[in-house]
Amino acid sequence: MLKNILKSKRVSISASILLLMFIVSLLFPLYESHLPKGFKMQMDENGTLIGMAPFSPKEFMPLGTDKSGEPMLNKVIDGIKYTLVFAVFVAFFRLVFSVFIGVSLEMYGEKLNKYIKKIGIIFYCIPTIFLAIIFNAPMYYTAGHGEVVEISMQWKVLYYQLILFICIGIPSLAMMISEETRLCKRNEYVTSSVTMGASKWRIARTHVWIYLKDKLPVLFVQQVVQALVLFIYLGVLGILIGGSRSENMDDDITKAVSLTSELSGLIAGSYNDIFIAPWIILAPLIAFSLIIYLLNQIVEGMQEVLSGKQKFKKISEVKPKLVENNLTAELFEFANIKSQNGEMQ
Amino acid sequence: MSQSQIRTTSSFYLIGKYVVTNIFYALASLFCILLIINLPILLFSERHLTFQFGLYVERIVSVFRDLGHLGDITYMSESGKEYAAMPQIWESYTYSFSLIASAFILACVVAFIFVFIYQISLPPVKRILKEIILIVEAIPDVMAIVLMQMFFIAFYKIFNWMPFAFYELSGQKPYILPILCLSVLPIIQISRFLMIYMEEEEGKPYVLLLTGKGLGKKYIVVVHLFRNVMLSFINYSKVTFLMMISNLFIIEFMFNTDGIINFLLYYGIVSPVLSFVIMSLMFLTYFILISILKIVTFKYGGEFDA
Repeated sequence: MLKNILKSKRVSISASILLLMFIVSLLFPLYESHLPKGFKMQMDENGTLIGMAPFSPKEFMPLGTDKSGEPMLNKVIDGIKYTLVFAVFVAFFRLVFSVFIGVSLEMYGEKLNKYIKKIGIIFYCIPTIFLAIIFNAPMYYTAGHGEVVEISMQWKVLYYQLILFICIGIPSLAMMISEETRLCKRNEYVTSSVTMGASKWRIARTHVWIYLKDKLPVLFVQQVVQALVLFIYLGVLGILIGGSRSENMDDDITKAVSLTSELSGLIAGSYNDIFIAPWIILAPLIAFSLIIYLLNQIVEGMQEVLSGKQKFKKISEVKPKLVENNLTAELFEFANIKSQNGEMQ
Repeated sequence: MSQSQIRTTSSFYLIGKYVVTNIFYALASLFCILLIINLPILLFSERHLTFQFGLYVERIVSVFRDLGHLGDITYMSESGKEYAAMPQIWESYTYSFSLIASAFILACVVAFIFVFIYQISLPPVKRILKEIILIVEAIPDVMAIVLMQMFFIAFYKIFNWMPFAFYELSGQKPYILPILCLSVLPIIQISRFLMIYMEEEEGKPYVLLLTGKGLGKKYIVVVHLFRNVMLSFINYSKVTFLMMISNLFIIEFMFNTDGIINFLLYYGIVSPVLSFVIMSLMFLTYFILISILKIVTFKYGGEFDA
């Protein structure tokens, strides 16, 4: 199945573009010095001031600059790698734990699961963003202007936040997977293998796993998208991944700056600038939408493959593989045939 | 007793049983919400992981005690004055949910019209429309809101006239713009859902029969396909509703409206009682809604899942 998925044009093209974006972002420190540098004040030939940061995309190609004159393009390119890594990390572990919890709940605790399912509506109903806010508060860290931040502190906040984002996504996903498991258990081949004496572990390992295996890639990519949306929301609400530093901007206004230079951190401080310099907030949002679009394309392609709508090669185009025949008569022994000596063997 | 009488009495019995068990589940869920939103005090103190069971129990007991006299709960405004929370919560709750309800209705109307156009158009146009939906789906709602705000600012700059309130100003509540923003994502979701289900429905033999009888495509889509998709659509609308609640979070924050979410963000988070009351209001709305929907769909062949 994975082979077929990778063969799909939608999936392969969008996945390779995503990979390219990631690599470009990863190599950013290597070519950073070659990119055009930002400036805070623009002078003409006579040395008179003609412009102050922020510059619009028209004045400073392609994405404009922020208030301190740094080009948005550099910031966005630098940020993509962190955002992608965080989102993929969160989505992967959400999926791993949910598969484990969901399948084992449905296999070993059917009766318990009935009640959990009824009460579990609350996990759909309390928005994940609210849980993220209240659980984030006790460990969140805001450094003052110019304050030295210990690396260990930063890592601690980061670890904690990523674990938190994993945990708040698990209940609803686990319930979804246990629902899928329940559907799988209804199949006739499962019931017949139960009557033949298969243990629960065996059913989980063979039938349920094979049933789920095809759906997991789609779920994974959807979880990545959800994690990205969660990051955007948190960015708007001013909660940054890995802690923040409040920097003094020009006129007594403090602005939260991400310590990890991650994409949603660019949204955070600049929401109030929307009316003066909308490109500051639009630049990271465009990057987000591009990533989400590519991920959606991957999901779409995967679903096309799974539902069998994808065009496959015609049978006439498929070349039959020739299996080389290394078998010789010496490899065989015939039973009950008289050997050349005339004795029965 | 005739057959139909038996069916009605048994369905009354089933509905009654469903309602009674659901009340029990609702209470249990409310208690779980209380346990979950107070978890931080159990697990953290001063930026360290701990386990303070005593404090946790105390907090929960205090919430129960406060719930006994809801009228006396107060919240501290930014200026430092204390106000009674209760009528304020109710007011912002009705405002927020009127936003959600009208956005949902708007989204349904637009999505059904869109799907109708999609259904009657030719295959190449269909493919283009599908790709457009895929592109629009990728735009995060935050970006949609920002773009919309920018658009209306440009509109105001050019025409010097604003058809509706932009922000909460002097008691005038903004309705139209938040509703427009809130309905962007549901429109896409509902139309995608309808597109998929209608395609499935189209392959069924009765559609072929209707075409064979000489009925027009528009008639088939409007009368038969829409009607047959309705039951699955009602089931699906729960998902849309939930998505709209989390969407409301960001929209209320960005528009700075006087809604329930902003109340929660500004005053609720510091007080466990208020956040519990607000979360349970949101939960109960959803829960009552799906219970009613289940009872309604039961009449038309739906099932109560055990």
